[in-house]
Amino acid sequence: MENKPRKLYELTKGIIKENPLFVLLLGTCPSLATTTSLEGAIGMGFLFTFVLIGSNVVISLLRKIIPSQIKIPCYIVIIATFVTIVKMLSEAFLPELYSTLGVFISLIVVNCIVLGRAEAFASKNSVGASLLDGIGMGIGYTLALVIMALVREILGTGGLTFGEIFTFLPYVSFTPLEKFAMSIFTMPTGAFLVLGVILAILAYHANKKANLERVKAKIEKEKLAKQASEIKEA
Amino acid sequence: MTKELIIAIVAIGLLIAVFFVSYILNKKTPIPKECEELKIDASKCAACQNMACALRKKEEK
Amino acid sequence: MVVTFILAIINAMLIQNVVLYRFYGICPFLGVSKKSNEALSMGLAVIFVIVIASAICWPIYHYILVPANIAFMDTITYILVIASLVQLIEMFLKKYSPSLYASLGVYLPLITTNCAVLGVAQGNTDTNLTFGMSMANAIGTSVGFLIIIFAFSCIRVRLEASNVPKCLKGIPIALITAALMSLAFVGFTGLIK
Repeated sequence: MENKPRKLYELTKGIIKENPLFVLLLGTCPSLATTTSLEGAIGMGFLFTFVLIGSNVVISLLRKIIPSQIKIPCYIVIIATFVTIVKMLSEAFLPELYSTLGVFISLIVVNCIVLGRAEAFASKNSVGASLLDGIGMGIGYTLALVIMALVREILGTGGLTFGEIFTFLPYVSFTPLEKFAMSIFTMPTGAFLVLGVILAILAYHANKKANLERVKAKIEKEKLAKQASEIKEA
Repeated sequence: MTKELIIAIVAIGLLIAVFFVSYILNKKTPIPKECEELKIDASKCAACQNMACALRKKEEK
Repeated sequence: MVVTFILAIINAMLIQNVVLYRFYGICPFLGVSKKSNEALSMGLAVIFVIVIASAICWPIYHYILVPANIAFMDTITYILVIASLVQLIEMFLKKYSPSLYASLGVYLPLITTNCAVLGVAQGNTDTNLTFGMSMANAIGTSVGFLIIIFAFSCIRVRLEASNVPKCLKGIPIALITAALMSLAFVGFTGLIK
């Protein structure tokens, strides 16, 4: 069926090809601040996905009713409403997460990803596609946060600690490398360093791929030119 | 429905109205003869994540 | 009294620097810092918006939202105030000062989604500061942002001219530079007892 690959693409593009943090470079503020621990990163990603899915679906449902003059103010109000809902729910059910993330839950409302996806995608596509796009981008952002948090927490504290923020999990602190821990990674310096190195690694791979394709295209062109000159001679 | 609650709801409604009105008025006021600036903005627009910018729309055309 | 005010400004400006410690305003920090005069314009616009927005948001929270028991509406209210303020400033500049609009005007819509403005406004009320301390926080944060983005742009201009390995060009080397700056600013920690 032609529709199915298209829908699957909407879901998976947010995870790798158009990963909001590593490829589109959006939403860097919370990514640097909330990745000091793995649980914080998972919590932030989860709340962010909730807001993104909610706002994408509602904006897609209302896209034919909202007049195009006042699109952006309407989107901002809808997104702010969802962020307030998420803030109150997290204050009630996950108070440790709320006190760890602090202001950054409220800052989801000015996160470029949410407003960007609303304007670029949800305002033009159906509810189903917007829902999948929201889920995909949310999973992609959470994955990016988790990768950063893993590096920062393992190198910064020597291991992983569970149960401090999500108190429904048992408190498990598994820090085998505590003697070699470099606390610079849990400082703001480490945040910038880790993100910079990850982006450099991705740029290296992208450059290699682009170089390969450029070399292939050049070989093709030379082959064609040779064929054309042979035909001319003959 | 205490008095403060009513005042607060009216205040927030007023804020929403101010936002929408200022947005529409801002869209209507023309840029003062600075449309040449569009060409310089090509490099700036890459960094700006604000998809709503009117200059960006013009540049895409 | 004045001393506490000045110390609070220094705290917000250097010790808990807005970009290098609190991580607000990273998007414009990385995006608008390629040229020094652009960075200067962005910093000035940010100072203007943060100070006025904080001055408006604090009274609204304490005199309208809290007495009505709807303190949870603070996020929505602040973003409405900030967005309308930016629209009004842009309209004002378009009509009365085309020269200022030519230099600052492009950055104003970008400031609406700047984490720093909402972060300062929300942080002032989340931590229950007095009006004086809130204004000190706002002034210190925005002046700190100006200092940082200007310094960063000067460094980046030199980075453009130097021989950076291909995979580090652009954003990665900028982030590593920011890491080194952040490490340098840790040295301010003991400045205020």
